[in-house]
Amino acid sequence: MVLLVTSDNEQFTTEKDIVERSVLIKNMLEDVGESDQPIPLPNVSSSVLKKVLEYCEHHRGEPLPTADSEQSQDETRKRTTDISEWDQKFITVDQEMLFEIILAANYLDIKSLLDVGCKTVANMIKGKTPEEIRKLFNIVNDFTPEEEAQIKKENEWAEDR
Amino acid sequence: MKWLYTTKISDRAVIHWFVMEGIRGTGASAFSPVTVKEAAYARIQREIEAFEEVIREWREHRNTLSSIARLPPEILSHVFKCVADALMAIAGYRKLRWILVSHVCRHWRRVALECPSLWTNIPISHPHWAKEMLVRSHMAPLTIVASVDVVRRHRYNPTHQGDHCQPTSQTAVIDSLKHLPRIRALSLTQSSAPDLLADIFQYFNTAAPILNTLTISNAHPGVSTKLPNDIFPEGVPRLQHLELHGCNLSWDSSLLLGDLTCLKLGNFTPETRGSICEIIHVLSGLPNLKTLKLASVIQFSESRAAIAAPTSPATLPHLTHLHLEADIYSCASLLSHLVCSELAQIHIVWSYLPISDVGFPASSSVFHELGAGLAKGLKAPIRALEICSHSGILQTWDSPWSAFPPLRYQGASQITVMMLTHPPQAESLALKSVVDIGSELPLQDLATLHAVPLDIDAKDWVQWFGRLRSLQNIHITPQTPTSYPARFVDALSRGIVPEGSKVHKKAGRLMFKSLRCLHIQEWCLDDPVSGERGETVAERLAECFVQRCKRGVTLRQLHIRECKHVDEDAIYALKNAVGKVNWDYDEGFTEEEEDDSEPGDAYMYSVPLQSLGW
Repeated sequence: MVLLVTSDNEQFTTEKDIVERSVLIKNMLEDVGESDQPIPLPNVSSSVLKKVLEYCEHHRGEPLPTADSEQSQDETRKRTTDISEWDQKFITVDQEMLFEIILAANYLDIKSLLDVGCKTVANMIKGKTPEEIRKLFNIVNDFTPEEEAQIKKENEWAEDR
Repeated sequence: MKWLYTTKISDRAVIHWFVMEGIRGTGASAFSPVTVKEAAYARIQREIEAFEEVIREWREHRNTLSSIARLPPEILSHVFKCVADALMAIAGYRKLRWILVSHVCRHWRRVALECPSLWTNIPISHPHWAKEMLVRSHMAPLTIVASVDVVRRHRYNPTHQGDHCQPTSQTAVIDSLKHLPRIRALSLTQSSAPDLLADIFQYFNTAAPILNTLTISNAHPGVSTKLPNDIFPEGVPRLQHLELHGCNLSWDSSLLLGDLTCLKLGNFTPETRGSICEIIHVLSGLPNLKTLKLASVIQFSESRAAIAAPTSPATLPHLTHLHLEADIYSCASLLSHLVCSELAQIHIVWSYLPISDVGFPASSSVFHELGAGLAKGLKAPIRALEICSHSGILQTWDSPWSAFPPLRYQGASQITVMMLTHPPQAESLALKSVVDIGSELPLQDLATLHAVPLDIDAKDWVQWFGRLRSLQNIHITPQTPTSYPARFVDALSRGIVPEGSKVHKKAGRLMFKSLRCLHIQEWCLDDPVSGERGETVAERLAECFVQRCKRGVTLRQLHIRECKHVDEDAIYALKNAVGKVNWDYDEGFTEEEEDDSEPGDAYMYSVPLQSLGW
């Protein structure tokens, strides 16, 4: 069993094969060897870690991406932004939590979770106009007139074929 | 205007005072001289611009407070790539819609512009964007997919009358080929005359050190094009995927050396097609191949004897996918000179052009050779087999699937053999081909057979399938829809002595002992069966199942689909002999029974298994 301590000082005890889906923790465990020492995760809050562990538990036993498979993963990403049914349900959270999960996946080095998060954001963006995207993410238009002119030109280029 | 940034905004009135002082501070009025007014205009403009800049900066700062701003640039650019990849996969006008991610706000635009790999898919059909993306991608590896046909444009042009043609794509392709040293994937398609590919090939004249994928497709039947031998003078050390369709290539080309993992060649002109010896020689130098497709690139042979045998076979230990399209002799010969062990998918599309009737019977051995060639390289055992003896199609799967729907709708096949040619002897040749090829296949693990139809003698049914211990599911249709597969029924009835038979006969060995599920489709169930008893097909089947059951060989499910002349008695007789009878309700039920279900519903009769001794 592995003991994890979150940024808000909550402790999580979890099985090694679950938590080792995080390359960061896997490497830490390999470095320190057998130890009862808790692993501090100062960049992850308890609510986010709970979600991350839920993901890791569901996907336990699945092969971890290797350097060889990364290229093919890249190819897979190219083909689709499809997300499996379970992952889709898992990642149906509010924006705050979604971005926190993505940041945690990035920090903990869980590539598949990072990919699910990024694809989810991509799916939110796909098919929307810039104005709709701004509204969705609470962003305002801050372009200069010169940038606006360039953007107008770029849109004309897309029509021109 | 920096004071606005640095001042702690606590008192709106103070700010308002400063602003109003500034406005009054020009000292100009409507009565001022022109020079004074111009100076005032200039100052006012500067003040407005400064205010606008401040507003923009506040807006930019506001954007840093949104939740998505938590994502660092490297993750945001990954999101952009996901958007781009998804939208670029869509054909048509939406292809370039992903660029909108750079039109949302300054931060997103900065992130997009600072991510060269986002701009590496060069949209040749949009020349302005193609040029811009070549710049924005900096030195990142490029992917270029282009159609090089002359573009016919319908545009108003005051200096020209009517249509005018512009080879804009060709120009854009040539411009992008200046970046050959950083092109990773290049795909060119030509579907109409004139041949623009030949001009483009002249630009394959520099180093292509990272070129990984080269695809050239010329779909115009009247245009013959060829990749010159002197292209890529410094070689293509990273080339792994080569696909040429309708674009000839010398068999000693330098592109056919190295670490190719995928080679797909199709539609070479007759004079450039290779002999089996040449092709085997080339393949011997490509030991890393995983996918090989050779379609209409092998010299035509009218007999097996006309093919010179290569000195040694080509060993392709990693080959998983093989697709051959050629005459039957070439397919058989090539396959017999390949040494493979990992084949997961083999597609053979063969043609047969008999010069005369004399040549026809001789083809038997070639079918056996082809079958043996198919059998030897398979990675997984054959678990399902579908045969259509009418059209000469034979398919296998490494999964048993179920007997319905047809196997071809259930998953990707393992082996597919398909006859293309339809000479006068088509049907007999088709049957002969599937029987001879199929007889060489290892069927000891076969679980499911779908025959649509398979018109062979009862003894052949017995010999081929009757003794297979793993065969549990059979789906069978007759030669013609209004008959029934009498020879199959004969084979199924082997070893059975019908009750009340006047002929003194000893019960023999039963066939199809593992059969658990039988689908009969398009049978005519009230046809009289030839023989002493004059019973109908349904009665004979029922008798057969009862006798088999008594000897411990049970049929658990009988599915009756689209059969003709099915009556209640027939169904009743069958339901007493089989665990479950499922009839797709074509005709024959009583009104009462019809009222119980919607048309098209399947009826499932269940008989307690105990009553049949199961």
